[in-house]
Amino acid sequence: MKRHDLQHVLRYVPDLIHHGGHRVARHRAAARRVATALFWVLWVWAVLPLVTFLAWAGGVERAYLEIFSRAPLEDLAYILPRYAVVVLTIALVFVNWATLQRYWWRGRERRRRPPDAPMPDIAHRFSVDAALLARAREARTVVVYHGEDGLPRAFENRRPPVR
Amino acid sequence: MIAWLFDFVFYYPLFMAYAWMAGALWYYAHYERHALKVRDPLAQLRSTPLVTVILPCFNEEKNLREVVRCLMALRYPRYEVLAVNDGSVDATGRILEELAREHPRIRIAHHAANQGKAVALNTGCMLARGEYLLCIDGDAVLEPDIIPWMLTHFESAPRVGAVTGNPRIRTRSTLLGRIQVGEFSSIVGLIKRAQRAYGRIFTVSGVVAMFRRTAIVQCGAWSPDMLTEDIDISWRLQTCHWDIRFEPHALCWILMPETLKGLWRQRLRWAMGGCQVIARYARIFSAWRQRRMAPIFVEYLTSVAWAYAMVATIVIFVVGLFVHLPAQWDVALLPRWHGVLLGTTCFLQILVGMYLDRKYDTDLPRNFFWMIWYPMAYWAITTATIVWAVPATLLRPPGKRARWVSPDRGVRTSA
Repeated sequence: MKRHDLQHVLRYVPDLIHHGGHRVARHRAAARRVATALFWVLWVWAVLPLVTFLAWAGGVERAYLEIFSRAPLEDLAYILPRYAVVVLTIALVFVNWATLQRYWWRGRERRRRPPDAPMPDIAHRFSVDAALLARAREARTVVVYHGEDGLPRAFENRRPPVR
Repeated sequence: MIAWLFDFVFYYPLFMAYAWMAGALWYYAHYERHALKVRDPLAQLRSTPLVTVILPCFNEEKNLREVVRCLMALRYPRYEVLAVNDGSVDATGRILEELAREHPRIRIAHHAANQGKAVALNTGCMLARGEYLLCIDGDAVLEPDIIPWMLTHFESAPRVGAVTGNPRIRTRSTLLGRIQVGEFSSIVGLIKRAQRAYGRIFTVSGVVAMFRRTAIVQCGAWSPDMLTEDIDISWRLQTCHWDIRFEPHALCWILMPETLKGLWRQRLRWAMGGCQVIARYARIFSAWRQRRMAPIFVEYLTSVAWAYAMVATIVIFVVGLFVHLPAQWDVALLPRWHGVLLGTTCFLQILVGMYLDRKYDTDLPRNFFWMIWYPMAYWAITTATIVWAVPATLLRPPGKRARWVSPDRGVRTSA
């Protein structure tokens, strides 16, 4: 088979493989995954001597001693409760703040919905003539010319595109 | 003193991660979980006001047809698309004219010369016929129900000025793309939810946000001199006492940089824009009525301080390799138990982000393997860009216009 033909076939390989064609019951699928995971654990257990040998050859034992001699388990026993207290305090403070915000503002909205901005206000905001802006807004295609300050100076309405 | 520096570098991001996670989970429990059951958001609306989709384009010839095809498929009865061609030098203008011939919903505003995204959005705001403006980027592919999802917030409260959407990354073919997938779930999504829960949002997503035009006009519209117009408009609205909401269902599929150069330029612009906003809005502390903005201001400022503290730590470590320093200046490389706690926190944050976004991005588990890059990559690029951005922002001439830079849209931009 020529190279480009092979690439053509390979591109469609994912479509040729059926992934979801034969659905199985959820508990059976879960059992399969658990069994597979157990086999992975068993495999790691079986090759552990090899892993240990490679680790020893790579100097892992020294690193292990270094880490645990400088940071013994007592350190963890010291850090962990303090860390847990700080994390819990942060979570409690922020969650309570969020809850307070929610209940403080719920039903207390005294502000009314402002009416929609009228055309003269919009034209004034962008320093353009309201009548010119109204005409430009009706056009389907418009060219806008700007000044150095980024404000529009002129509009040129173009004929609508023909279908 | 030096111990404080090291503690700050280590503990600040660690404990902020829990602040974000707590807020995001709270938001999910109170606002998001119930909405997951809604099948038809359009049926929830009391009315269907005219919505204008504003599509600013600068040299978007490669993406326009795909974006417009998705815009024409939006499930909402009353909307128009206003494409603002901001002086493109490629075929963008011609393609827009062709598309307008095919689709009567499309209107076009051509800028005679390139003006920048903020001015393009101002043009859209002026010429829009609708009161609600859905502002997107020229590469944004929208979820069909996005308009009703966002409009619900404007109906529910009278002072909602903007609703920000939930951008999801399409460019996943390279390592950089995949890292950003993790970042958008594990940090952007979490922070948006948490900030909404705590009161104020630092920024809407510039790529997808809906605004009420009255709010935009009242607060002064988009500033042409701000490098990140989205951060600036968020602060303008909120300092004028308009609320900003986050809508996770408002999905928008976007292209992100997949080269280091593109990513650096994008993140540097974000960092400089953040610094510009912080400098401009320091005045909030002089008014009691602006007190709700203070936490996000302080949080950003602390992040800037953290970036410099991180650099100082790295410098101390490098100097310590060559010069004998006092024992308390020793920067430990072996992780010890603090490293285990840091690793566990990162892992937890990734899992929480994935859990919250599981309904919106079903492809996330496939990227789980790559997400382990995220903490280091995110910290590295954040530190580097902020440290660079502060002097660059201070040296930037005041009032200088922000113009488009053709963005890196990833290595695969075809449909």
